[in-house]
Amino acid sequence: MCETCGCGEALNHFHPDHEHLHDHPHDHADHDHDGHFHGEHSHDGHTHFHPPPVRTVRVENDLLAFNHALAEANRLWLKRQHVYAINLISSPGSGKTLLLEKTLQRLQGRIATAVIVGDLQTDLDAQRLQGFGARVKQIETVNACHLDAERVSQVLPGVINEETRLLFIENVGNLVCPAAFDLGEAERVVLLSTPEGEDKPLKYPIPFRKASLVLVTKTDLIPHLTFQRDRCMEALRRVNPAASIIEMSALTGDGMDAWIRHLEQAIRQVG
Amino acid sequence: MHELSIALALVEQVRRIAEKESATRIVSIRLRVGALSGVDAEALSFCFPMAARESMAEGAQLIIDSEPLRWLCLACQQLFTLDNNQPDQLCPHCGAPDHHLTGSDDLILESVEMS
Repeated sequence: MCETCGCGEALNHFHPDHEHLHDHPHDHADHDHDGHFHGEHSHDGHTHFHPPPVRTVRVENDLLAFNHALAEANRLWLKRQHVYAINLISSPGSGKTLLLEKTLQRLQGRIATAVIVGDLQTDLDAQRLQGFGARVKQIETVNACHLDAERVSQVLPGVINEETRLLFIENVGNLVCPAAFDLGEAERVVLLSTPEGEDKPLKYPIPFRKASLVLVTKTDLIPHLTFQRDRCMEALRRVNPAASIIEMSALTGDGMDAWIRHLEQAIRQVG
Repeated sequence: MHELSIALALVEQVRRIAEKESATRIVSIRLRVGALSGVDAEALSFCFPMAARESMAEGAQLIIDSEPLRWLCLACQQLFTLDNNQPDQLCPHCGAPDHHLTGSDDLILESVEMS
């Protein structure tokens, strides 16, 4: 019997939801209509195919749902371990690794700290960060332009131990892609180095928009640059009026106290 | 640069939805991409056919509804767009100089047309 209309008769008929004539009884076990794919059913002992209807399914799913779910899992795991995680995002060469060297020096013996470093290739950054008492793990992303929650979740258990209270995730140097990927961090910090120019937040608004703290780094270079501090502050305020700003130079130590205070306050949140 | 990973995630998500719906072919896919999502619609459209190759989404049409970057005037609370993102421009509604960047970071799979 035809499942569409229920007929068992040997006659020509037309099904409104598929556009071909059935000639019953006939032999069309391997017939070909118009090249589209047919759902199989049976008419009086012979088999033929109806085209599945085209339909639209409403979804409204976040495309990065997989990453977000893993990021939430990381965040929960870190919270249970009493670890405050910071995702550091900036252009390549803005001073993330020097900042971490100086930060680890200051925290050594006081706050147990771990670092995950993302780079396309080499473990040079991880080598630089050895010797300050922190557990350091390099992720080589090879061609990937950003870290994602899955990669971070794979290395978390190896880099965090019971004492760890603070985790820095030094993201791949890139102001575009890392902004889209939540890693499960408690806080996102973006670095803007003075040689990059004061209008960078306007040209690359997304990472600044999503940061709770912006570090304006390499302030010791300002005398050698055309960097206009007021315009920089104005650009940051326009893009993200809620972000805190610390102006600093990891090299000279200017502004480091404010940064360290920020970290000390932050880890109090996680007990 | 990360649009290929997004396109691969999209194809995988669409495949799972189609399987649940017992569909075998994807006709079109509609996305909503916010200006602050970090995704370039053109790059995503370029990557999509590669990500969809040899999947049931091969040959499917990708429709992207882009949501623009907007500025919110702090004086009159009106939203407006600026040509070339020039920050020194004045609000076209009231002429005030102070405005903040707004926009969504949505990256949403809205609907899938399948058969």
